Amino acid sequence: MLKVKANNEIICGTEIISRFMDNELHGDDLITVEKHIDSCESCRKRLDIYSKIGSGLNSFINAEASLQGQEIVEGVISRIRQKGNWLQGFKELVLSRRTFIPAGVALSIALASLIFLNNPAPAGPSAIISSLSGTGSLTIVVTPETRQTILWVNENG
Amino acid sequence: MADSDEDRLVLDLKNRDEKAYGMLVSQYQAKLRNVAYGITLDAEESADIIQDVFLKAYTGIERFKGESSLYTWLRRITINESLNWVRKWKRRFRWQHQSIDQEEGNAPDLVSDRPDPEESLDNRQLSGMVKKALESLPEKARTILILKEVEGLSYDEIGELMGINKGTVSSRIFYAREKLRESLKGVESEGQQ
Amino acid sequence: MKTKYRAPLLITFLFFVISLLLLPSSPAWSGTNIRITVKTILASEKGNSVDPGLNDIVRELQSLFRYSSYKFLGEKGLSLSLNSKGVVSLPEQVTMNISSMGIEGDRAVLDIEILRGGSRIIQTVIKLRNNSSINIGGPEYKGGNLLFNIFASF
Repeated sequence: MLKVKANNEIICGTEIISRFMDNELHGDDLITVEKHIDSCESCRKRLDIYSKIGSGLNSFINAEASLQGQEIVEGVISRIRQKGNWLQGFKELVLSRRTFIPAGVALSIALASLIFLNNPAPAGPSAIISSLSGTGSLTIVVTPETRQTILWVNENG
Repeated sequence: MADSDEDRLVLDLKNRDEKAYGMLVSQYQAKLRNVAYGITLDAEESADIIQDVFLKAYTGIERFKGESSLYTWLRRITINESLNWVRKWKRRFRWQHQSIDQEEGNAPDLVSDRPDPEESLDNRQLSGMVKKALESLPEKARTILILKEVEGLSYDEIGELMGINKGTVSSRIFYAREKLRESLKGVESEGQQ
Repeated sequence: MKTKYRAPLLITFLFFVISLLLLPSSPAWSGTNIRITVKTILASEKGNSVDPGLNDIVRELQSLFRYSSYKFLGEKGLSLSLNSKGVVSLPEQVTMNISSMGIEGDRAVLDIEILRGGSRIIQTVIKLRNNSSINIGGPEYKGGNLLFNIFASF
C-alpha cells in the first residue's frame, strides 16, 4: 500500500493523482489525497484534464472505429463460410460413412492379411515332449526347415 | 451476457453454428474494434484485425476453456494481434515514436504550465490532433491507456492482460495522460475560451 | 465425441474386431475344444511314390528316412474338450488314445498313447503348437512302418 503523507509535494502533479482518478487508492491513502484535492486547485484542474482526456479519447475512438461495422460482420461470416466449407468438406469426406466404413474394412483386411501372411516361422519345434515312455528304442527328431517334431519308436529295440 | 447464455453460445460456437458466429461478431465487433483502433490508430487495419480475431476464434474455439469470459478471451487476442501489427509497422519506420525507458514509478518530468497560443480548431483538426497525440505515445503505453479509458479495466486486470505489474501499469497510464495533456494543450486553451 | 462420428467409428471398430476374430492364429477367441486330425501313412522302402496330399507331410521326412514310398491309409478327426479322450483305430490292432489336458499359451497339451493289442507301444505327453503336427511312427505294418501325422488346431 502506498503510504501517502500529507505533503503537497508528493501529491501535486504526480502519479498519485492519476491513481486517485482511477480509484486505485484505498484506506488512509485515499482519505489523505481526498483532503488534499479539496484544498488544491492545481490538482483539481489536473483531474479535470484527465477526465476530459478520457472522455475525449472514448469519443474519438468510437467515432473513428464505428465505421464499417456491418462490413466486419459480413466479412467474418464470409471468411468463416469459406474456411468452414473447406474444413467441413474435408471432415465429411474422411469421416462420412461412405469413406469411413470401406476404409475401416480395408484397414481391417490389410491388418489381418499382414498378421496372417507375415507370420514368421516358429522358432521352436512343433511339439515339445514333456514325458515319454515306451517299448523298444525311441528317437526324437526335429526337421530342419519346418521344425516338425518326429517321434520314432523301434518296437524291436 | 448471463453465464448460461454464454455457455449456450460457446456450445453453439463449438458446433460451428454459423448463426452463433454471426451473433458473436455482432455483439462484440464494435468494442473489439475500439480496442484495435486505439492501438493501431488505423481504421482499415483495425477492421481487418477484428476479422482475423473472429476467424481465430472460429478455428480455435475448441481451445476456449471458459476460464474467462468470451469477450475477455477475444479482447486478449485483439490486443496481441494489434500490437503485433504495430510492431511490424514500427520496424518499417512508418511512425516516429518515443520509447519509454524508465524505471518503475519514476515518471518523466512532464509537468509544465507554459501557456500556448490560441488556435482556431474544427472537429477534423481536433480529431487529427488527438490522433497525432496518440501516435506519439509508445504502443504499450497507448494500449494500457485504451484499456483503462475505453475498456474500463482496473490496474490489476491490465497488469494481468499485459503481463506487467501494477506499478508499471500506474506509471505508464500517468505518463500517457501527461503526454496527451502536453500535446493537447492548444485544445485545452481553445476549450477554455 | 460428436454424435454423428460415433456410428462410423463404432462400425469400423466392429469390423476390426471381427477381422481379428476370423484370424486362425488367435487363441484367445478359439474356445477350449481341440480339433485333432490323425492321418495314417504307410512308409515303405518298396515302391517309389508319395500319395497326393502327403507332400507337405513327407517332404522333409524323405531326407531323414530311407523310405521311398508313402501311402495314405486313412484319416480320423476328433474334437476334444478339456480332459476328454478320443480313440483312433488303426491297422493291425493298433489303437491310439489321445487325451486333451488343456492349452498352455499357443500349445495344446496332449496325452498320446499308442497300443497294439492292448500293449503299450509308446506313451507321451506333448505340447503341440496350434496348427502344427507331430509325426509319431514306427509300428510295423505290411513290410513297412506306420506313420501317424497328428495335427491339432484350436
